[in-house]
This record gives sequence, structure tokens and C-alpha cells, in this order.
Amino acid sequence: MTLRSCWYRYCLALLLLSELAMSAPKVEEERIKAVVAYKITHFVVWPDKPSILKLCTLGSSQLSEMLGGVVKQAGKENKILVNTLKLGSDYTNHCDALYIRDLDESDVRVVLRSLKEWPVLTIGDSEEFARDGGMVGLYTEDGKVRFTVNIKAVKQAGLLVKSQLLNLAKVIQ
Amino acid sequence: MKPQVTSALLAATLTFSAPSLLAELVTDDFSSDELSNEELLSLSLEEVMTLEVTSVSRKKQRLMDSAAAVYVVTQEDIRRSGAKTIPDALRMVPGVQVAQMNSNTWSISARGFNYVFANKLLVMMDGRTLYTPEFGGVNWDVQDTLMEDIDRIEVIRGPGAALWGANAVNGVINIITKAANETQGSLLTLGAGSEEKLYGSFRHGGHLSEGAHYRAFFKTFKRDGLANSDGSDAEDDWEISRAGFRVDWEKDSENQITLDGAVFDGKTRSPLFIFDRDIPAKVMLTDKVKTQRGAHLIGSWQRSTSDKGDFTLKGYYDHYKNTDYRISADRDTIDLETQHRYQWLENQELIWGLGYRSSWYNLSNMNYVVVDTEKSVERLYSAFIQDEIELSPDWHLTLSSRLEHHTSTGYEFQPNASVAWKVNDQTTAWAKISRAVRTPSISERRAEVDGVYMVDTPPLPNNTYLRINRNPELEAEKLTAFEFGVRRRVNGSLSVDVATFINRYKDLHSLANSVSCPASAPINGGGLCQPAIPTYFLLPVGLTNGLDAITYGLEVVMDWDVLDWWRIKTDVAWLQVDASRRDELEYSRQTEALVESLSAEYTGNLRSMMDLPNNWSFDTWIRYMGENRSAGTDAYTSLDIRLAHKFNEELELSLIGKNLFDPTRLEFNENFTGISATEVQESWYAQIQWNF
Repeated sequence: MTLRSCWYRYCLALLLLSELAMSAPKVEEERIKAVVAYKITHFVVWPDKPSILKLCTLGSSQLSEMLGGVVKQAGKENKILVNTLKLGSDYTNHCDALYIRDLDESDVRVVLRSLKEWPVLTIGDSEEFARDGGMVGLYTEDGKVRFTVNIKAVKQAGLLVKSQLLNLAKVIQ
Repeated sequence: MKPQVTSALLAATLTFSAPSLLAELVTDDFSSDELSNEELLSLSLEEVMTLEVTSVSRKKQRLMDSAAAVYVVTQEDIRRSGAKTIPDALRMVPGVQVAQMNSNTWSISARGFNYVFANKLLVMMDGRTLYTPEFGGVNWDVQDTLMEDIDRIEVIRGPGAALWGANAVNGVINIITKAANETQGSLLTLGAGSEEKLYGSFRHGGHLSEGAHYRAFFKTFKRDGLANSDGSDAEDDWEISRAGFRVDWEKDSENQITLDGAVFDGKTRSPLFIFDRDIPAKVMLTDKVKTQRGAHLIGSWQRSTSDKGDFTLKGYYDHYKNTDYRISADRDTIDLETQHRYQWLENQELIWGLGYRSSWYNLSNMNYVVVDTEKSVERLYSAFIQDEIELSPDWHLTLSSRLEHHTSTGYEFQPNASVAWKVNDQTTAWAKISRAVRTPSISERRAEVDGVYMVDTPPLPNNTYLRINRNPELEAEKLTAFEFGVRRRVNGSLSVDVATFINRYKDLHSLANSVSCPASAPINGGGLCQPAIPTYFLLPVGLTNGLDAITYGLEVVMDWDVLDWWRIKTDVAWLQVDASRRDELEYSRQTEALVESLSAEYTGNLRSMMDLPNNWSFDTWIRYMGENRSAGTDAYTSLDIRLAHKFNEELELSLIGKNLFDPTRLEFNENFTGISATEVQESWYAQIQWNF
């Protein structure tokens, strides 16, 4: 009945509460990334505003299914198209944004090199993606999805990114 | 009374808040443990980023983080090097020495012991072993597929025994072909040239249904012989035709099934320089055509499991048959494996697996290599386990071991431990210690080889040939390896990879004295086998585990994007071999000298890839191989160039020149196999490739 035991029970209570909070719904990483990638496109300004936003995926058919599902839910007012591409395709003409997954480092570099200075938003699945010349790199930290933005790559492509996005991102020069 | 009130209040808060929390959780579609897309989209980006994620997909390890000396030959590397065979593609791997003995025979090894029966390298294609246990080596001439459909070749220098099995002593080469959905559409390739006389291949890929893709291909070629040292045509030409298919079926997001199969049929000519007892003398036989036929079928099923992992079940059947003048083989192999990878504890990923392999042999036509029984079965049982522990975000410790039971040598245990340290985002350091064994091949344990090798050093009489007796007691060769390496991404365009090693070998095979002679030629007073009519003699020797060795070396690899359109890949490797015999017998001394000079001390590669305007590309490849004293070859530098133009998305024309510094060059020579070495020639060929 001392202050100490009272404090102890309060701590226990807090612990219990936090345990309950921890078992919040978990969503598959893949889906969150697809949603985040889609939402990021709202914060990007293309030099010639595309009437239909062409989202392309490279390297994973699962990803394009996932992204397609997300985009379908987004409704018909948002005119978006999801294209599945393979290595060697003409990315510049078919895409406003390209999400690359499951490709070897060297293949990724080849793709990024072919897209240099083209207004195509490149998105990848790791922090390093932005360092390697990609524009947005999605990754998980502490169980939550985060992303890096490479400002230099974005500028080189002639794209603009709204400041609200930069506030949420880990920015790389 | 106060504390009781406080605790009562606390209890009350809990009781009232808990249900509301629970209610919140329940209303959010908790039955499927996830939020719907609609719900996710209704949240703001900031809110989505606060959600907890579960990772179902398999962890894809960055090459940067692996604790081993890994090198990946990419499809771009293969395409731009103009390599038309897998051995040619392997020439660009640091630390791997490729020596072409004749038009269709190669000697390939990593970190030493380069020999036609180079038996310390495990080679696989899509998980199917290409190593021939009969003779301990790889028949490189029949290991082939459509070069354009190879996704990558992963080469691990150093023992990979724990994960891959016995005989992965000095390295593991894994040739991985592309998934069917990456080879869709049709691809027609045609080419002709001075050495690549004529070749063509056709591949078509499509899809069977939602999630099921396939491809089928046909490939044929006719390759010219190389040259003799006097410049004359060496009559070691070969031609092989091959057809294959692959089906990948993504049944649902958790199940993936793959089926891969191929058949091949071909003829190779390899001039033999071999002893003819009837004359008696050593003769050059150039009309012995070796026919080779084979087929394989691989099936695998991979399934994601609930514990954030995956389970794989794989099986394959492999058939090979040849008619070789020295000894002919007919072999069938069945292999069954399982593998389970899962997150065992929060910071530990466990992989474990079981394997069973059976090979049935039927050996015939034993003119020069005589095995005690014509038919035999070799069985292999294996179990392995690997635990990858994340000690901290920057330190990873991997412990693995493999237990095998071989028909030949019984139980073999191969453990290894490695640690990877992420020094910073751009630098990773790693260290590894491992044990590996090389089990003796059927020919080493049970074959007698007569009349292939002439021993003409005095005081032995003229026409004395070596008779290598069988040794069923032969033990496995053992290796304890210590490796260390550093990988650094210097900046966005330059990365450097350094690997160093010290390998300690025990019980290497060496020749020893013997008194065992065939019945037709019993032993005489001088210790030689003498036939009734003494027109020739045989010097009896046996194989024993009589040699130890230490090898050490350094491999430096650099990848540099000089400019946007110009990339350079280069590597240098240095190797030292120090063998030591266990006894003072003459043969041991000779084997020691032989082993020490089996590989070149220095090798290097410099490749340049340029993307020129208007869809032209120009690639060059300079490679250096130091002298190989055992093989009697000098050091050489070689140049390959490739000029290509893409007319449009579909059509590409390329011109390739190979071995341009010397008109002819001897790369390898030895006396144990009876195969006569010929010289690699300078060559040109043109290729047209149509993608439609």
C-alpha cells in the first residue's frame, strides 16, 4: 500500500495497455509499399502533366497485380494505367512512373541509366535504390514503411516534388 | 484508503478502455488480420506510414552483404563478351582459371588444381549437379543451354560445402536460367564464322494460363577443330543439337511450381594420343568419334509458409550416355531434395534440408580404363542446416553444417562459420572458416588405367607405360579454409571487392609405389610388369592420399562506371600453391612438383563496355593468364572485341573477334587422359538476332 507498489501497478497497467496497442492490425509489406508508391505520385509534378498517369512495374508480376488492385480501388476519376514491363522495354515512352522490384543491382543500374533525364519517376524497394540513382526508395524500418528521396535524380529528370513529401521522407542529396 | 482507491481507479480505467480498444480492433476487419485496399487508400500517406508491416516475401540478400567471395556473371556480361559457351563465360570470373585443351575439352578450376579432371569445383545448372562422379569433373562440352536465356552465373570461390555438398571444395558455380515469364516472345539467333562454323537457335515463350508461363527452345551448332602446333587442322570438331523447355506456374501468391527439361545429341571428335598394344607404340587416333546423348527433367515446388519462410521440394532425373574409345558410360541419376527456410527467432533465420541422390552406372568398352564391375550404384544421403543470426543490425553470424553419407567413403561432415560486418552503408567486411571434402571418383577408387601415359625417363626401358592401379581404400581429400574479404562502394560509380584466402589441404591424391600387375604381364625382377613378349613394359603405381598442400591468394575486383555510357570491369588474381609430400618416394616428389605448378600464378581481366550513339555498342575484353608449368604453356594475353548495332527493338547484328593477339595459342597440355592438346585459334564470327 506504499507509493511504490501503487506506482508498480500503474506501470503494469501501462504495459498492458501498450501490449494491446501493439496488436494493431498488421498489413503485408507488399501492399503497404504499393499504396505508398501510389500515394507518392500525388506529390510529384511532371513537366507535361499526363492526362492518364502511366504506372509501370518491372521485375515482379506480383507487384503489378498488387498495384493494379490498389489503383482499381482508387476509383475511376483518377485516370491511371498499370503496365507490366520486362527488361529491355522502352520505359521512356510507356511510363510516367516505374516501380522496380526483384532485379539484380546491375540490371537496376542499366535501367536507371537508360532513364537518366527522362521525366519518369523511378521507385525501388530499398534505401540503396535512391543512392544508386533511383528517385524513391521504399524500405521498412522498425516494422513500418519508410522511403528515401534522391533530390538530385528527381531534378535531373525534370520532375518536381512537393515539399510535404520531403517532410515525410529521408532526403538524399 | 487512498492506494486502494487509486488501484480501483486504475482497474476501472483498464476495464473501460480495454474493451473499446478491442472493439476498435474487431471492427477493423480483424478476422483477416488486415486492412482492405479501400481502407488503406482512405488514410493519408502519413497515416499509412505508421502502420505495422509483416514481410511475407523471401529475404533477398544484397550481394554486398554476403559473407563469401561471390562474383556474378550477368546476362549483360555474357551478351557483351560474345561468349558462346559456358566455359568462355567463366573466363571473366576472378580466381577461376579456364584452359581450353582442345576444341571441346576444357580444364576449369578455382583457386588452384587446374586439371582436366578438375574435381574440386561443384558446378550446377538450376540446382542440378553437372559434376560427373565417374571421373570427378564436368563434361563441359555437353553442359549448355541458350546463352541468351541464362539470367546469371553465380560463382562462389571458396568452399560451399555446407550449403551445397561435397566436392564444393574450391568453389561453387551455379548457372541460373531466366524464369519463363522473362523469356516471352520469339527469339531467333543465327551466326557463322571461322571457328563457329554455323549455329542457330530458336526460342519461343508464351503463357499457358493466368500465372503459367512457358518457353521452348532448339539450338544446334557445328564448331571447327582447332589447330595443331604445326598449324594443320586438328580434327577435333564437334556438333551438338539440343532442345529444351521450361514452365513456371505461379499457382497462387504462395505456391510456385517449375518444370525444366532438355535433351541433347551430338558428336565430338577428340584426337587421342594413346598406346596401341598390338604394334606396340603410342599412336595418334583421330577417327574416334565420341557420341554423347543426354536428357534431364527438373521439377520444383516452392511454397511460402506461415512462419515468414518458404519450403521447397525439388527432384530431378538426369540421363547421360556416351561412346568413348577409352571407356564408355551410361548413367542415370535421380535426386530428391527438400529445403525449409524460416524465421526461427526474431533475429535468426534457419534453413535446413534433406537430400537423396542415386546414380546408376553401366560402364563398357573398357579399352584403357578398366573398372572392376560394369554396373554399379552410388547413393548419397545428405542433411544440412544453416542458422543466420543477426547479432546486431551491423553484425551477422552464419553457422552451417552438412552431414553426408557416400557409398564411397561413408560419412563426411562439413561445417562452416562466417561473419559479416556492415562497417557502414558503403562497406562490408566478412570472414569465413570452413571444412570441405572431395570424395574420390569411381575411376580413382575402382579403375585401372593402362597404356595412356608413357613414362620414358631413363633408366626405364623404352616403351614403358604407366599402369595406375585401383585403390578402393582411397579416402576423401580434405580442406580447411580461412577466407576474408572487404567490399566497398567507393562512390556512386565505383565499387571494389577484395578477397583473400588460405586453404589447407590434407590427403590429396598422389601416386605411390605398387607391385600389382595384370595377369598378362606379371611383375619382373626390376619391378615392372612384363608381358610374355616384352615389346612394352608397364610401371605399376597406385593412388594414395599422400600429399598435403597449402594454397593462398588474393583476388581484387573493380567495377567502374567511368562515364554514363562507358563501364569498366576489371579483376586481378594471385595464387600460390605449396604442396608437401608425406614420404620421400620418387612419385610423391613428382606429384608434389606437379600439383604446385598446376595453375597460373597471376590471372587478370579487363573488360570495357561502351554504349555509343545511334544504338551501337563496342565492347572489348583483355585477359591475361600466367604461365602454367605443368601444362607447358607460356603466359599469354588475349583480346576479344565485339561491335553490335541494334536496328530497332527487334533486330541486332553483332560482329565478334576472339583471341586476337595470337594466330594460335596453346592453353593447356597434359598426359594422363590420352587427349591430344590442340591450339586455340584467332577467330571471327557474325551474329544476327531477331526478337519478335
